[in-house]
Amino acid sequence: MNRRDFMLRAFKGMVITGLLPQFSSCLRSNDDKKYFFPLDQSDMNYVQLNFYGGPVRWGFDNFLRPTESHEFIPTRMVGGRFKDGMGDVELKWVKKHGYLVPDFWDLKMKSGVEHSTLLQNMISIRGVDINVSGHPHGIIKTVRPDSTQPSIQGVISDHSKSPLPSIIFGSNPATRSYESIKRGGIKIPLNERNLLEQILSPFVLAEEKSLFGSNNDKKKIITKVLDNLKLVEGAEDKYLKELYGSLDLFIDNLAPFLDEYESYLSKYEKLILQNIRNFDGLSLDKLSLRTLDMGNLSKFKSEDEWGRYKIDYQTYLRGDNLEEMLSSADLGFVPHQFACTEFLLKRGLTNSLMMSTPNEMGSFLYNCSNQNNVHQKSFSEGKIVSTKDKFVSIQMDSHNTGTILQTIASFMFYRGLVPCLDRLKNELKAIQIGDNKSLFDKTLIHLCSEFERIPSEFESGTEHNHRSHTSSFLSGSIKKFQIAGNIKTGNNVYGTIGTAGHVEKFGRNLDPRDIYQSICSIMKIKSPVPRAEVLLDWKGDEITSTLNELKNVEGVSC
Amino acid sequence: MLKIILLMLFILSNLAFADDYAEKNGPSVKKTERFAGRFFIRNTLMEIFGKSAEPIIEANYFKAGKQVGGPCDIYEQVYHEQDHMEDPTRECPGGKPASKYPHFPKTNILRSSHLLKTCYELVYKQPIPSSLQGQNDFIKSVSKKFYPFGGDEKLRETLSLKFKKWDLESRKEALFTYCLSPGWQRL
Repeated sequence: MNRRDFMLRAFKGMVITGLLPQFSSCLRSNDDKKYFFPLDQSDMNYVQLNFYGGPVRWGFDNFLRPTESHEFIPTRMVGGRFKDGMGDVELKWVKKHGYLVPDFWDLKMKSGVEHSTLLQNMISIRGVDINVSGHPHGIIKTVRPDSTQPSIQGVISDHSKSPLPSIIFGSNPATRSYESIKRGGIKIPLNERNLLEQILSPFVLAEEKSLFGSNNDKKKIITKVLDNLKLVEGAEDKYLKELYGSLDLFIDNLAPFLDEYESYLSKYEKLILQNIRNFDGLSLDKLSLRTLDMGNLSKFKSEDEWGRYKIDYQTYLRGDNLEEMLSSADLGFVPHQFACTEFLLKRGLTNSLMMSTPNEMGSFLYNCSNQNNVHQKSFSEGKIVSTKDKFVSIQMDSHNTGTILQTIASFMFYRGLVPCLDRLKNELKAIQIGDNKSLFDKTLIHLCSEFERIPSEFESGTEHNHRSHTSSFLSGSIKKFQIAGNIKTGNNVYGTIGTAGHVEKFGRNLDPRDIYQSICSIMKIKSPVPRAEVLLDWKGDEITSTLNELKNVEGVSC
Repeated sequence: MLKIILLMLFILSNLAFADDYAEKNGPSVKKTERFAGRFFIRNTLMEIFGKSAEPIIEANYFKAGKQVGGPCDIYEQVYHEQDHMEDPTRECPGGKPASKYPHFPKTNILRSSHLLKTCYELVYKQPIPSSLQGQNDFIKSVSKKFYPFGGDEKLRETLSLKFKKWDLESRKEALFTYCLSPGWQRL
């Protein structure tokens, strides 16, 4: 062999040994597409939809009149549709799955599926007495009712075998109440489109440009180092286990997962857009709104006359521009959270999630166009001026939202939420896990907020009803619709609005600790909350309510 | 008299039960580890790896404040002129929300992966820090940097036994091990 042949063969050898790792890494990146999979489905999944802000739910899942024999006293503002052209509202009832429910549930999604299909897998507990005032205290009682113990997400996370601990979206007192003993939660702010990247990007090893390096080599080095630490700290060290856990999750390329997330996000966005501006069932066409009498302020008796037109403090709706206001509205980060939740549950990355609001107060609708639409009334100046705010949100904490916008906004919100829940349910149902069960059977979705509301007599807003909390649960393991819990009938001033009624079985009102205890019971983990009652439990493979009281008891609301 | 005797027997039997319970179950004390926030981690690693480490720490660890902890203090931001901070290192990166990050993050998998990536890049994407180069007793020098007050005896012994000679590969592995070790991060 001469020098030329030797150099040529050596060069060929170098190329092959250099290219082979690249080729194998291409194969590996195909495997990465299948990375993450439901690892251990013995754990139940828990997803909490926390409507922080305390929205009205009497048109949705606060079932005030479960049967015809339950006394119901109607009152202003408590409604799900417009009764007449002046903006009076009413609740109409339909029978679904053995109970009377607001006729919202009779409506159909754009897909043609009735809202009430969700009820087949729902248990709703009403009349829970939060018994503390204020949003932060109220929501803390829901999320972490015993301040000496972990929050519900924390205790689930501590017992979980999932790679990631609880994932909490948003930033508000509910999300900040997270507390655990062993595993810190992952808090994802709602400030950009790609939520999944925030969760997964720590697990991407920087790309190696070298022909001779690969992430596999990196992982070998890291494994050697972790093994060194194992000799010192011991195999059971929690910190070390997390380092090994993160090594298991490292991936070469995030792009396929982000594409998957983006496809889910597009679907949820489309679902919401298709459904939120479908006003069937609201009787919006009956509504003919007056505009403010520009020339005669003395007739204007403030909230007594114009309360129902209120949007916010000192801001009123100019009715002829309502359509423009609603045409730009959206639901904020709801689709993003659903997309992320679907990805994470399908991949078995976590078994505990909280979907919540981006900041200190949740809104039904975001980005409602406000230009030239709304008049800001200034009594002291004796004139009506236009607001300069281009966009406005319709808050869930509706202290200053009158009947008209509150009814429309809450209707639109739940109109958008139900298809998202329906899709999530169907996607999880499609994933089969052993023993003829689906991922939806292994998931408990919890709808909650701090409290219900008390309507104002001027219809200019609502106050907190901290003696009324509703928690609704959805799961494939719930085989029939159930409502449980007692409420008071109220009186002719406030009507039936869901205030907690005494439960004979326990000799007291229901307490948020009972909800916490029930969730632990369903998750099959030991509850750290003592002396609380279990309201939901397993009966074989089925989740049922163990509370057999469902009464509207005589009593004044508040 | 009989009643007094019975009462005393009752009290003593409860004490005996309590002793028995305590012996079996021990005192109930909950202990949680506290890990330092990102400012401490950044400052320590920059001290060891040098100023050139700053971009690596910033990109892989510091910016993930919500996961790794370490709120900034908005009152430390002193401006003498508009847009001119007296000490730019005191800036609250990410704005006011950065002042609400947890002080003492619990260990979590995200924190672990951020630290793992940071330490890997510090060790393998840069030369060994000049203060550690050419040292005869490499492991002793590294130990002094990460554990100036001791507490790493077992780690030092383990690595000394493993590496008979200190070539580049073994130095990097030892440095990486020290960087990931939990002791220096614990408060």
